[in-house]
Amino acid sequence: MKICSRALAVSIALIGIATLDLDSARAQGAEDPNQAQPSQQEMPGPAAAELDAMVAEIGATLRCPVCRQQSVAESSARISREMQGIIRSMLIDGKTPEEIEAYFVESYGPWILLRPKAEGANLFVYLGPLGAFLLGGLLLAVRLRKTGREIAAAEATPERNPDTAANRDSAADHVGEEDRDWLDAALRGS
Amino acid sequence: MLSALGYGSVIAALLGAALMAGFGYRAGLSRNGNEFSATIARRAAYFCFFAMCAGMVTMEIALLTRDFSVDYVSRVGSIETPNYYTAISLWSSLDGSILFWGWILAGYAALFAFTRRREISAHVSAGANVESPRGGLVPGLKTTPLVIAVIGTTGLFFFGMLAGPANPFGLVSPAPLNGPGPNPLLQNHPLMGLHPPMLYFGFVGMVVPFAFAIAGLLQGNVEARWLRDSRRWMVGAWAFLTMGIIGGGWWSYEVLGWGGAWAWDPVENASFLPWLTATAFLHSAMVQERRGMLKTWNLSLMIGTYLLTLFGTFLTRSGVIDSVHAFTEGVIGPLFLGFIAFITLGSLALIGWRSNRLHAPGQIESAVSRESAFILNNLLFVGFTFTVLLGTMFPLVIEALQNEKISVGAPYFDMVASPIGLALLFLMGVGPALPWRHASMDQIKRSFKWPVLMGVAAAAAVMAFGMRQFLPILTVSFAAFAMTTIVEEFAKGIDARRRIADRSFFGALSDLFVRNGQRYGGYVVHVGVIVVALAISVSWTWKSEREATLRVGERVAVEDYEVEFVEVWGRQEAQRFVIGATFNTYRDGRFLGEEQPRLNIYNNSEAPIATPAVRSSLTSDLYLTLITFDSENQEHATVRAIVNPGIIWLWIGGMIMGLGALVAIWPRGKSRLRAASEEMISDVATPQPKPAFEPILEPAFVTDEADVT
Repeated sequence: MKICSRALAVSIALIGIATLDLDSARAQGAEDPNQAQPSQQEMPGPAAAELDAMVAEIGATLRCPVCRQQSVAESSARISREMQGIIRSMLIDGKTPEEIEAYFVESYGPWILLRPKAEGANLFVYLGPLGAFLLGGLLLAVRLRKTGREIAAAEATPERNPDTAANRDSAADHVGEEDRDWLDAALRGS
Repeated sequence: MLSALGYGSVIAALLGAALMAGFGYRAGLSRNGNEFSATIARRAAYFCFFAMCAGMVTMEIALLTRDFSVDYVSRVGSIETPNYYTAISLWSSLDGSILFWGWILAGYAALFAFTRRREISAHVSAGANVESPRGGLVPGLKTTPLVIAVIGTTGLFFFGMLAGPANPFGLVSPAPLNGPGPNPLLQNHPLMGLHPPMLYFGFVGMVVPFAFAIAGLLQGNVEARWLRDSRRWMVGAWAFLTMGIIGGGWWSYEVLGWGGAWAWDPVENASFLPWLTATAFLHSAMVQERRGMLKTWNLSLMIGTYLLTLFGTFLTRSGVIDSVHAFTEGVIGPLFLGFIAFITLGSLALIGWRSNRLHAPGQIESAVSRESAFILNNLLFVGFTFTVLLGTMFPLVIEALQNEKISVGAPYFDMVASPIGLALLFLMGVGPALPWRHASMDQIKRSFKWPVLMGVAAAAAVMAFGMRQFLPILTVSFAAFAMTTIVEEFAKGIDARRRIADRSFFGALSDLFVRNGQRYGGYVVHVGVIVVALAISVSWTWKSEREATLRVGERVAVEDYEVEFVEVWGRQEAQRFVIGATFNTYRDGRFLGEEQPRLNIYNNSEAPIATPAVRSSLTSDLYLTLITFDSENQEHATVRAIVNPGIIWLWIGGMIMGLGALVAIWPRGKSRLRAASEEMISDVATPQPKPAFEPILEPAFVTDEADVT
């Protein structure tokens, strides 16, 4: 769960210490990340809503540097809010999401990305699960095919005939089914 | 004084655990094992529990009387912290939580011993031999002392930690006049008293199925009663774990202020991993019950689940997760790792030694059958476990190997979890509708006609309402599919009961729960899962968020809500300073009430804890977080307003899951006779692994049910 203490401490050192001058906060662009960024209030209209969505989307993939596993979009830490401002102004400047991402990786290292780049050793975190599922599925399929052949060979034996066993389940008495089953199981000695 | 009393209790518990292990193994393994050693092992479990109760009470007294001469109290207590948060600060730090863990562990041991207290006497009164002529107890009586012995063995580790490196009862001299108080996050919301104990009960409870697994391996025998009993303990622990996870999500939602419940944080993942393997076991156990297959696999799942609880605790409590280099700090981490290694290697050796005895006689007869659905379910659950584990551990691996820091966060986990979750949701609609062994084409058509129709209809309906995103459409469709299967199962069962027993509709329904709670309780859990799946999908897809700086009297609109800024205020409380902002909230123009998101600044920390204000309704929640405010003139405040549709159903779904589990393990008087006769028949019919063993005639009335009711 998210602990975002130091960041909040900075952002709200407001108990008389810091003054938050919202009106003077102006976009300074990517060159100066230390300046507070404008709030959306100053840019109303549908274009602003679209911009907000893009900022949120990019912000969700970036890690809040002072939080624990919280994204820039979610965090209300001051640094996250500044980063949101940087994303916003870079978008206004016509930068692509990839360029923005690259900018943050340059400043903070690959650690800033919540979804690691699929390259080098990182590939394993993407391909690992895929491989595990494929391998598991393959083993299962082989196993099933093998027993399938064995069953076909044993089809002649009456108690192995799957149809009688299967039909038993669909018999009308649904509740009694359980009782019959354990008896069957007991007689088979399984 | 309290310090000495507490430490004495821990030493007594350690002694109790040693007796549990010593006499338990003697009763279960040795030729000299007899009724006496089995009884001593059982009583040692009671003794251990009483000792740990004394330790717990001592610690609570020390906390509540603010006895700062006790080490733990001097680190987490403070005079100003309210009594409620002082009482629950037992689990706010490492050694206190190990004490709590140990208490629950002893409690499970005692409860287990208690449910088996009449086992031997019932055996005697049924006229069966207690001791085998070749020495030692008869096989049927060995499980109980062995389970107690294994729990005792793990107890040696935990109580040993409490007696040594993690001793919470150390004497501080001179005693400080006041302490720092618990971690601010842990004293910020009353829910903190709810989900940690739930999680502990779930985590620690996994020791009982684990002990069953080891007992089964030691005896080389896992028969019907063993499976049924171990599964009931697993369901119990699973239910606690489920409620703990959902409760943790709720806490996180109410406290952390980012408007969500699940962030794939390592701590969350650590609770999720054993839940996944436990859930896998609960399904594959049915294959063993019906078909006698998958014995080794099921044992591995039980052991793996326990290992994951230990590993998760290690991961999140040792500081390793923040950096591999935290590993070197303290002695508890390496000790824990050593214990995990011991359990892992020991279990592997046992499995290797016994696996040939556990070879399954059954076979999967068809790829389209309930057992293969269960196996596919297990593939998905275990694959899910692997994926979450990989993602959680990957940054550590990379840091260790390449000395580079990377992150694996929510965007990664969301991406990999959605397809797995959807596949499981889909399978949930398939499994129950398939017959065991083999399904004919005809049966498939009959079983899936309605579920498929409903699934398609649901997808069409939500698309007609304007939904265009692929994943939510699929979720709704699969949810409808799975739900229809469950409804059909109930309909079939009720129909049969009405015809056979001539019952009313509700009479028939209650019959299903009473006569076959395991199955129909399981379906109730499925309903809960469907509700949770829908809640996740809906709340994530349509969450909308606005952040705005408002002057007094100004409003901001989010969806159908409006928020109006009224004032900022501050208030000094004993343990904290509270800054709050009051907002009037409106929905569709109608006044809802005042909401006060706050910032709490605790005495022991300069970091303010943002406390959101949440207004819940069945359709959507309005979630307000105070971001900043005008500290000079109190003229404006910045608020983040989030509208979370349907998120309340996440908690409701979790409760339904817990309710279903309760139905499944509820002791039932009626099934007693059947269970007992089942026992005798299967024991007589089952060939014993070695002719040297006597055929066991299990005494009829010694099941858990008999004792609890």
